Amino acid sequence: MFAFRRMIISLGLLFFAALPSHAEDAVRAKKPILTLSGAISQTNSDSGYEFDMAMLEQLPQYSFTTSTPWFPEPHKFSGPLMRDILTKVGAQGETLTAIALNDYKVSIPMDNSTRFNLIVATHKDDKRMSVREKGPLFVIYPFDSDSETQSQVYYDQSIWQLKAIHID
Amino acid sequence: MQSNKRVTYWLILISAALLLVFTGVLYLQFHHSRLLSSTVQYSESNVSWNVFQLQSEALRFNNALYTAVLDPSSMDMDYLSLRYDLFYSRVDTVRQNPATEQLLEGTDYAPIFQRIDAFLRNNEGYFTQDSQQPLDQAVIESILKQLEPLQASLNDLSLASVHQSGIHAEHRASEVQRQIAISTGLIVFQLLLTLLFFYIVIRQIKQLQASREDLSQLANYDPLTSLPNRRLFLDRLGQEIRKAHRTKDRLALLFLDLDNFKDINDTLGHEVGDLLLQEAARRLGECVRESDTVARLGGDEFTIILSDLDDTEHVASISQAILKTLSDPFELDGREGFVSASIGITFYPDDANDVNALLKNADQAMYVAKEQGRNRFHYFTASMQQAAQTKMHLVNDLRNALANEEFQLYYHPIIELATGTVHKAEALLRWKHPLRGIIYPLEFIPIAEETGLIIDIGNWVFHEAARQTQRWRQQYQPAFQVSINTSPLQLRSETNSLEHWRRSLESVGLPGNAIAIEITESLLMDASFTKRLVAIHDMGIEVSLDDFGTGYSSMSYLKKFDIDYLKIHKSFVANLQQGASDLAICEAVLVMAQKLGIMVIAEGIETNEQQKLLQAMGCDFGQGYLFSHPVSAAAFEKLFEAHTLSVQVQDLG
Ligand SMILES: Nc1nc2c(ncn2[C@@H]2O[C@H](COP(=O)(O)OP(=O)(O)OP(=O)(O)O)[C@@H](O)[C@H]2O)c(=O)[nH]1
Ligand SMILES: [Mg+2]
Repeated sequence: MFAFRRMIISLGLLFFAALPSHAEDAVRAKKPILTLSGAISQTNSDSGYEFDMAMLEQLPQYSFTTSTPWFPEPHKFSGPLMRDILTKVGAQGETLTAIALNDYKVSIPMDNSTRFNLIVATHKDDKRMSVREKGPLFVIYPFDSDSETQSQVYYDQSIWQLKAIHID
Repeated sequence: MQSNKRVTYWLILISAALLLVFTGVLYLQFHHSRLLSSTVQYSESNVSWNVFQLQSEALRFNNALYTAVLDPSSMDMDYLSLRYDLFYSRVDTVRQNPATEQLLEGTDYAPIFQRIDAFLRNNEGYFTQDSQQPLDQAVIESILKQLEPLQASLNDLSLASVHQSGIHAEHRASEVQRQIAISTGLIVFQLLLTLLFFYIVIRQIKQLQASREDLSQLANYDPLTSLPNRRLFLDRLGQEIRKAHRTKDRLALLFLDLDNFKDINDTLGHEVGDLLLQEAARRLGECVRESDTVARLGGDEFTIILSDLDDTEHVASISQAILKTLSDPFELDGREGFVSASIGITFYPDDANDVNALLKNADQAMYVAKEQGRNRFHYFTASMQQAAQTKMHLVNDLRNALANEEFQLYYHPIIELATGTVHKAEALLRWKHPLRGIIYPLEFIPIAEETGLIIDIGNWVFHEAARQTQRWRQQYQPAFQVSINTSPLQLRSETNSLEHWRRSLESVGLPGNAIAIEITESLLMDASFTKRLVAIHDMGIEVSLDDFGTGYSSMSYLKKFDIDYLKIHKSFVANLQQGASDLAICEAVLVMAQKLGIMVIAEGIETNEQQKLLQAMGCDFGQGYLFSHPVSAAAFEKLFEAHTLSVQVQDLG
């Protein structure tokens, strides 16, 4: 009986959480560089939730230094955690489809954002990255500190020149 | 020991090699897994993708420029810059991949990229952040013109990179194959090393065991003769003494030393001496039973333990056999050698109780044998020595007894119990020794049997008895019969006693039935005796079974063999009285004999009561002091003369 009642309460909470809310306080992006779409509960534009650089920099910042297959030397990467961005937009899904400026696409299991400190890097060695330098956004796993991520699967998921994320 | 050390080195070496190979295999396998999943491979496989991306980015840039040419009014400078930047970043991506140079070696990669760099340098100015002015038609067209050949080149490079990737994949596959082959080879090598390792270890263990056995062989056996050495001999003697103590048996210790062995060494050489020792050891072994111990104490000294002795006599014959076998010539490396030995003999428990005392006794006795002239044995105990000497003399004298006509037959009357008359007598051998006087068969027959003299003596007895019987038949009683004792040895197939007897009968002109031979029960056990029994009967000689009841006494034998008389041993007669078990036995024997048609002679009758009981039971004949002692032929003749027809019992005495 008790278990049943508790389930109803949880279901109710879920229901509320699932309601899409066009939040009044949500700011519109001035010059959007990242768009989240799909199964999200928060939006700030017709195409979903758009972030400009300032909005991303306002989120809690996280940084680590790691070697990567793309640069000969280890570099310091910093930016918001993927899971913070997803929370921000109220993402409810299983898979993230990350899309690059050149329309390269890759699927990232949503779990990975909680299992690892996956970040959307806005800075490399404390400097913004231009498009030429694989910027402005670079999805990156903490390869050096988490050896599990040192494999092809995670290298492939580390997408650069990120422009959009679709949640299913 | 030297080889042991070498084996140890080998083992260490192989262990080290095993370790090395093992590590090598582990390293290689680790290396493989690294190789298969390393970033190097990742970068390499990405080169083609990167080139392809560069190519498509060039195409997109190209398309963006075309759109701008076709519709200059809606030209988006931001978008053109982004496409330019993306193209730019793609160029860097290709260049920054460490695998690019390697993979695209031998292609036009370097010149193409020089041209791309030139292109980027030339047009950088139009797409920088600050100059966001829309571009001239002419400028765009010029950029497009520059871009066109690059696109074609990039297409070629893309194709070449795909092609190279294939080759590299193949190359890598074969590299992996090679690594696998190497590590497989190493594993096989390691396996072989391991097998070799175990083989050596096992062989080493076996060798250790063998050398341990060798050591115990060395410790306990004499290397020259392979006989037990002093140490093992002392052990065994101790054991045998304890065993004899438990079973209350007697054992003999013989101490043997070769005579003048030094001369052999001196004349034929030490090596030949060794050969003689070996051969002597072999011969000694043949003189004793498996359970006896022959040991070499050292030098030319040997000891022999004889256990489970039934009688001390036996030891003398063994010693004699040893002296005889050693007296045979030795074939030594083509030369002939002669040797004799002196033997000392002592007995447990008669002479001593412990190992050392026994050994000392035997040694002493051997020394005496040497003193007395060598090539002989000597007992430790005086009485034993006395007996041995007596026997030795007896043997010598016995050899001469026949020639010196020292034998004589006595006759013991056999009385027909029903009538009290005498028609038979048993011939008994007496030896009139010139010094010792009369010696009874009990003392000298075993020696005669031992020496084989029994055959000649037996033949003489037969002939003498036949001669006497013939005389008495002619003079006194035509039906008189004499029975003669025989030794089983006389009736062996290889002796021709039967032939001899036939000739005796013929020469004295006597029918066979005038003689009965007394045989012992043991002969009936010998299956081949049946044939000779038939031959004996063919001559008419009658057969009497002596000492019935003391031996194997099987009634079934009686039925099988054709026996004429049966002599009940005097021990049964001695116990005859009403109600005694021996009475019942005698009665049973008599009933059975009657049924089989065998006549019965009771021996050792000493009292009237015995006579009456036997008579009452139907016993046919009797023999014993009640009637008469054995008497000489002359005395017997007096009986004939006194009562010409039949000798009356009462008159004898
Ligand atoms: N060939 C050979 N001779 C040995 C060996 N051991 C000892 N001898 C010799 O055997 C001889 C034994 O000497 P003895 O037994 O004391 O003397 P013997 O010459 O035999 O004379 P008697 O025993 O007194 O009759 C010595 O000359 C030793 O040198 C051996 O192993 N081989
Ligand atoms: Mg000697």
